[in-house]
Amino acid sequence: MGNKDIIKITLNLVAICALAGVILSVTWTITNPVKLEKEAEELQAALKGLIPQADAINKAATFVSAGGKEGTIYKAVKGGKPIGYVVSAYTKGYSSFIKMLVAVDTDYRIIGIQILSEQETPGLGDNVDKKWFKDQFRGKTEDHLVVIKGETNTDIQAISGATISSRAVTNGVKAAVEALRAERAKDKAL
Amino acid sequence: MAVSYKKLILNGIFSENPVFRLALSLCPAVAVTTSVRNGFLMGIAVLCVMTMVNITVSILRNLINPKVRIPAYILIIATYVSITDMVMSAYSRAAYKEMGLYIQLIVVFAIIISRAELFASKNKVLPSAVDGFGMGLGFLGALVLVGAVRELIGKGSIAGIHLTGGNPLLIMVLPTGGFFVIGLLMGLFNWIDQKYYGGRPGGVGGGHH
Amino acid sequence: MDTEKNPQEAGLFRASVGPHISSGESVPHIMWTVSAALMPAAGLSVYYFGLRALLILVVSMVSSVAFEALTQKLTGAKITAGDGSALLTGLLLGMNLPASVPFYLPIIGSAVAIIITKQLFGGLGYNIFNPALIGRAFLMASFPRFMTTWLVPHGSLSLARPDAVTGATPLGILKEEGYDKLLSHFAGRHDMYVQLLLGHRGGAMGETGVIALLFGAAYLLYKGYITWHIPVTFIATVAVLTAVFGGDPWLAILSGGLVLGAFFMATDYVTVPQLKKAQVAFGLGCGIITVLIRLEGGYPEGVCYAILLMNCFTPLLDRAFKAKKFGEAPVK
Repeated sequence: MGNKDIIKITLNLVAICALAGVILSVTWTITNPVKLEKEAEELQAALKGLIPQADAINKAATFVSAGGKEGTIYKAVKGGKPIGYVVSAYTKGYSSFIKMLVAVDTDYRIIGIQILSEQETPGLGDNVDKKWFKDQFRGKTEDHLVVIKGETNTDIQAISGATISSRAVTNGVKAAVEALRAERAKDKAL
Repeated sequence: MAVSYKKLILNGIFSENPVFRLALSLCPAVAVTTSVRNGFLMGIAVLCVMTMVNITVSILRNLINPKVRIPAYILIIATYVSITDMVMSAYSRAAYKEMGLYIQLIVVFAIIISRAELFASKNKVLPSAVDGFGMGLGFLGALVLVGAVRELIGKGSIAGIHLTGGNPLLIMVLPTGGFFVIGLLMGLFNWIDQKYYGGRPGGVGGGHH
Repeated sequence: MDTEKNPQEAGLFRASVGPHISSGESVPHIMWTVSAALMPAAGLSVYYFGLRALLILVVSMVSSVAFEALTQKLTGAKITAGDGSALLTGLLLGMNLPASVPFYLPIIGSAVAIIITKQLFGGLGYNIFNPALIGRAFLMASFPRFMTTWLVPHGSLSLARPDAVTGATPLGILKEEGYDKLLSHFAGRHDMYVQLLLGHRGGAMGETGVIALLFGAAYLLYKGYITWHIPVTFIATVAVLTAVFGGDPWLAILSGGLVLGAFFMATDYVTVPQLKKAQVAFGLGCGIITVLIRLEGGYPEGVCYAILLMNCFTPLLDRAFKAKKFGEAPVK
């Protein structure tokens, strides 16, 4: 293969790369703002869904959540006063990292939780996203975040056949509350 | 050479169906086909990418140096996949949430590069487009069929419409179930082929992903 | 061309899988004997879990034989459904189920075991995986709730599905709540071993009556239908590894389906290696995987998956330990 060949081949590839690059950057310039805007809207909708009475819910701090992933604390404000927090955190489930939002009031009482993403076993673990399971957390304090197999009025009832996933979510909620406590202890203004 | 477009389309759907006859791109066929909807969305994405790639490769076929044709094809495929990914993430959020992970995988689908190499690089633009479209249709059909069987048995519904009560066979929506269904459907296709068209068993073979 | 046709295909001769020992022992004879050896354990499970257990076993056996006959009829093969092998598969599948499952579970399980795992691979002697275990794994993945709802022995004559008397298996309690909690269910360690040996505990029908299983296994060993290599290495590996990782080796042996799996399923002629050394390696592999699943996995018990995983390696193991042919030089 002569030198001329090598130059020709290189130019050939460079031309294709350049063309692809131009096309991709144009597409990105058009689509990315739309994507970011929609992502922000979705997050706000999810946060508002948990604390509807808040005037505004904004990012206030970050911490290290399960698996070294970044967790975020959002502060909910009404009439200039904080009325609660939403913690976005991860927890290690049976077959996936479960990403969730945990809303708590200023006394660390759970307002509600939402599962953002999970890949638990279909039909079993993925029941953590069922309303009855998530509703159990409402009004609970940390010491009642315990999974019980079978009926319970005070604690968290496990999903039958999916104790590991139930426990993962419950422990994740607890960890989220603890993370919030720790961050507030560090930063009094939070 | 007179090319029959009808034949090209039918070739993609039946006699050289990517999934059931060529056994190409089985990974996505197993991974995403837990429901009709997912199979359909993935199929449409592949159909678009494949047609566009075939057209582009065909247009550029005399400009691409044969020595670097494979990297060039990969670049073309990656460009189209990235465009699909970006457009979906901006304008089709719901579908993107379920499919996002798999969309990027389209880059390495054997069926796309094999059509670029085997067909588009040697044919004019229109036949190449038809070939890509036909193959894409075959892939789409296969994914929808596998998705339908798995959703029906595994969730008791078709395209989200609940049909049966009771306890569905959960295994069908797990990856294991995907292998079961594809294997059995492949067997069925071979059986039909042998019985009605006199095809030989294992006549066409593949086994790449 | 005809001359190039595979001689086996042309019907010139049939190659069959070993063992090729001709001692007058036919397939039906072996199958019926193994089934008979399982009878004490089956009987004990009926005693513990009631008439319902008997019915589940019967449904499982009948549907297995029926599916075998049906597939053979549809594929135009010689119908050998009466040779006892399908019956044995059905019996083993039934013994792997909790007595509380609905009756359609053993039917679905048999269909998967016989049609998909056995007949589609070519019938007796050609299947890669133990049919009964694939049937069980299939049901486990499909109906996890039914498959993990265990009955506490109650000896009821009722055929209705009991709902209240469910209890966890010893291994389930061990995994969820720890050793001390498990021990608290018994009057001390010695009592626990005795109770487990007698099978007075929750579990699948076939795994509870350890003493009856051992009785049947001893008979098969005495008759020479099975050899000690796989079961003993399997069980010993589990015991030793459990002890190494700080567990209770006796509990590891007596709880769960280890005895049933080691003597009756890891000894299936078709799906395990034939050479003695390969069998030892097979048992070792089964033991390691079982302990790994029990200690680190999501499920409390791993015998079923351990045997199935090792089934994949059977041809490799047989090849790896093959004796050198006479005059064959070692490969450098």
